[in-house]
Amino acid sequence: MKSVVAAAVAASLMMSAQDSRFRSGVDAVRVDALVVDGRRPVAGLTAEDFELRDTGVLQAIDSVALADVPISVMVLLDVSTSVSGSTLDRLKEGVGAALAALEPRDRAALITFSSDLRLRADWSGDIASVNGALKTLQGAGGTSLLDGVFAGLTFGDPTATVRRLLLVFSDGEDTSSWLPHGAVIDKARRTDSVVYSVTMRGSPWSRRAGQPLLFRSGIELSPRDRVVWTESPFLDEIADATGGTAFTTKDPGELRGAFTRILTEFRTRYLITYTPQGVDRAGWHPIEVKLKTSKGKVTARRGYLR
Amino acid sequence: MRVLVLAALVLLLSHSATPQQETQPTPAYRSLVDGYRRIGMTEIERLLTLPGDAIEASADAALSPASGWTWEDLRGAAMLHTDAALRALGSKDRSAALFHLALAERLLDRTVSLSRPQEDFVWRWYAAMPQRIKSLGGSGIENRLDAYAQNRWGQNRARMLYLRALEFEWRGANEARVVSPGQSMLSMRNQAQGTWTGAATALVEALKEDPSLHAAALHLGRIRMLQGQPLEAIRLFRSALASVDPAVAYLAALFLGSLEEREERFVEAESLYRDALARIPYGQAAPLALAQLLSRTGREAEARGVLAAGLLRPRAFVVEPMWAYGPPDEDPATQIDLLRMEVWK
Repeated sequence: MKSVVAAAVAASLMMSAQDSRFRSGVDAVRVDALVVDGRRPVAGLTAEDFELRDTGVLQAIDSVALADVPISVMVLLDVSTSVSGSTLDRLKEGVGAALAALEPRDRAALITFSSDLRLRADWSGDIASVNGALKTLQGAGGTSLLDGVFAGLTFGDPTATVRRLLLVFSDGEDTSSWLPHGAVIDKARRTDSVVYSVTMRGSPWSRRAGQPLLFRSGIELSPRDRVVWTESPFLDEIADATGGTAFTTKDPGELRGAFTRILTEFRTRYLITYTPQGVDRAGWHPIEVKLKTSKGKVTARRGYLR
Repeated sequence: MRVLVLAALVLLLSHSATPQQETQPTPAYRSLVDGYRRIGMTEIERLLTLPGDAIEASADAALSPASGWTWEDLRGAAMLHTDAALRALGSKDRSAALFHLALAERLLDRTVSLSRPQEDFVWRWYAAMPQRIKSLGGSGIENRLDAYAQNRWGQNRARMLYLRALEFEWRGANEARVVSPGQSMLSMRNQAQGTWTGAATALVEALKEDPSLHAAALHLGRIRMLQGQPLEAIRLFRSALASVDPAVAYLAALFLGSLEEREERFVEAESLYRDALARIPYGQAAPLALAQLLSRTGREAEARGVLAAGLLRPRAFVVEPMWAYGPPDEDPATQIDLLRMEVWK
């Protein structure tokens, strides 16, 4: 009996030791990386060109893919009261142009947010249906930006073999979310989605000194939530955390250019896959990606949370 | 002989028809109310096409004690007539609106006489309707409803204090101004401290007057939470869980859940978020709060499932009590959505 108990204890210890380590193939980490030389994307790189550190530990890269992985675009649009009339028309036009640039194997979905969140088009390869939903949008209500981004990140394409892009448009700061800022940033750190955002500035709805906070839930889920206005706007922060880019414009006429540029840029990104070795499984893993030899700047997510 | 047969026939018809008309609404009316309570929105249009005297006769019968209609049935009928009135106002049919409003009021009155706790529902109805009617162009009609509410609850000190507190609390949220980047929530709270103190004082008084006014406990709990007094907030939120108003109990469960989550008591937090979701399956904050917690604790697939099952279904119906957290006239449309949702089976 004693030996059975001892064996069970040993097995359980072994299992917990395994749980604290990464398993090859099962726990692979995917890092979407943009490499540019000046403003020009750098093409033709392979695994040998990259150096990747996870929590400071140099990692062996399993694979690097450029163009052979389909992309899934979650389009997340602010349709609050302030987004109406010509701005909404330009927005539909811009997103439509970006969707037109998708390839037949790519997929898309559409969520809108004002006070409420709405799934306008579920994940599908039928881009025409997403475009159809886009045409019906109207602007009304508050701005649940934080809730919307959380939903967009959580409702990612369930297909495993895709690269995930969350494309967010908003023209103002949050006025009606339940979730606090820190919870959404933490969520972004747990996904492999890359967030690209387009913000319309200069609208009277954008946050500025002296503006009321209006109401929000007021809850705090972590100490991070105690800051109500961070140094950089929320969308800049979330783009930075996921290795994406935040675009800002004052002119609705520039929206089309911004959206198509995002799609073009996203296609030039490398998908780096590795299985972490020599690091603990749980917790925050800072990632550093560099080029060994070629000239270029790498933009990738800052890390991931397990 | 002929005369005798005719007289017998008349007698028979009057015996079979009269009690039916006096004590039971027509099957068509019953079916409309039942259909409406099963989230049938087409029933509103169908009601508007029926002749007024037939509707009135059925409503009269439903109001009769002999009808056997429960307070839930009557409340459902009241909301059906409320929606008919609002729909009529939307199409500029003022007389139809007045007709259905009058029936709704009578049905609500009877609801309270059958179930005393429904006084709260009726109070919320009178708080939301005047502004909603006004926004639909029914100017003038709202004055009568306002006057009735003033007459019925004007001397209810607890409710008057509660309404005053909501104004204070709302003003507090608007007075808290963004000053500079890096500003903390604490400094925002300090800006609003004056008005929150005013709101808290009124709410404490309201609860002294009427400890069963759970909405006051909810609002006081949130102010205490924002003022950094979580233990007092928890006590108040727990008492608000007992509210007959599902929106109050829903928000109390969510706020309690957030306080548990902040202390990393994830099991307790999850249970409270699920409780909120069960109380109002059409809410937005509850699925988000639950999905966030599941994701935070590594249950990503479940988190996605929670959103996919409700909030992010195509054409999902969503009504979030937090949108109507301010004074009743701030968002009467949501207040009425919440009342409507309460009568659904």
